[in-house]
Amino acid sequence: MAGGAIGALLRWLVQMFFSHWTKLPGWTAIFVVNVIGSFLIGFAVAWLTNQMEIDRTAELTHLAVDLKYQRPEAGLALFAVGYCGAFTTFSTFSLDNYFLTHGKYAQLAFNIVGSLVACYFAVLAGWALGQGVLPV
Amino acid sequence: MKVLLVVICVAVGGAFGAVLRHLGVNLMHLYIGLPSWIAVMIINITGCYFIGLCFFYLEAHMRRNGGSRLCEARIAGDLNQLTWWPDGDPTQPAVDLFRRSLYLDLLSGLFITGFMGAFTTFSLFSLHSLLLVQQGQWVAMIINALGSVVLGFVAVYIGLHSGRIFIMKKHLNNQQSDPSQASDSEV
Repeated sequence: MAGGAIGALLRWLVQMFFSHWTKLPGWTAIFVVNVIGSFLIGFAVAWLTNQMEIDRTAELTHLAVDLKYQRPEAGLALFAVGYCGAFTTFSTFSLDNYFLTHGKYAQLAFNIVGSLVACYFAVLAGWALGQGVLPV
Repeated sequence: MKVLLVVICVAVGGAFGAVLRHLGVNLMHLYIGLPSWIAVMIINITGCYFIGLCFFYLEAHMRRNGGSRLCEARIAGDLNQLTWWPDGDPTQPAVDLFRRSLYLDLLSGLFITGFMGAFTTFSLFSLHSLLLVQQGQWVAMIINALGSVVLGFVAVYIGLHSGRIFIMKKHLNNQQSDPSQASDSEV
């Protein structure tokens, strides 16, 4: 719940920043937000599942004297589901697509294809980074 | 002060939207047994329908400065005849204008940016695309990507048009039940 509130607020801030301080059309804010959120969720899920596995092996081998990583599951719920899930949005993306069909076909195609491809590669990059980063 | 109120509205809407999405995905995934990418897809499409409805309703009722994005849309042509259409009416009292713009900011912050924006999610969608590719389910990944975009678009379209139908029906009912109201207000 806290993650959802913070994510929605940050998205609103990015939207306000784009509409007041830059002259880009409104959909670019949602585009940027979605790419950043996808990267973060890939990183968070890979990193936290990594930590969970390490915890479990530590428990199994009776080496878990002191659990340094307290409840990665809670972190997953807070950060991935709450924060990233609320930071990115699909409904505003579709609404922007609807308004871009009125003559702005190049921007529409860029928004759809760009969002899908960029977010896919952002998740991939986040995932690779999250698995590569060792939880010290 | 206004900014603070909008911040509170966005945060409250975002919190409830995120919790409802989490509950919805868990319900469909754990209790009904759908794969979680289908659950996220259903959540996204439902949110797209309701954002279309909310957007139309709020813009049509609250926006009075003529800056609505609905003015560019094709459905605007059907709406010009209605008296409430946002055309920047200069005879609008300033107090009414101010009150409506405040309500518009608060309600769109609460429902559109906060609730619907947090209810639907792009990050889980792209995460599921990656996981489906890693599991080698290419067909499911393509259905996920294309289906979400196309059905989300269709859902926004249906949402906007159902909002138009509700409001036009209400307007026609008002006209039939109270035909003297329009002439009274002109006098």
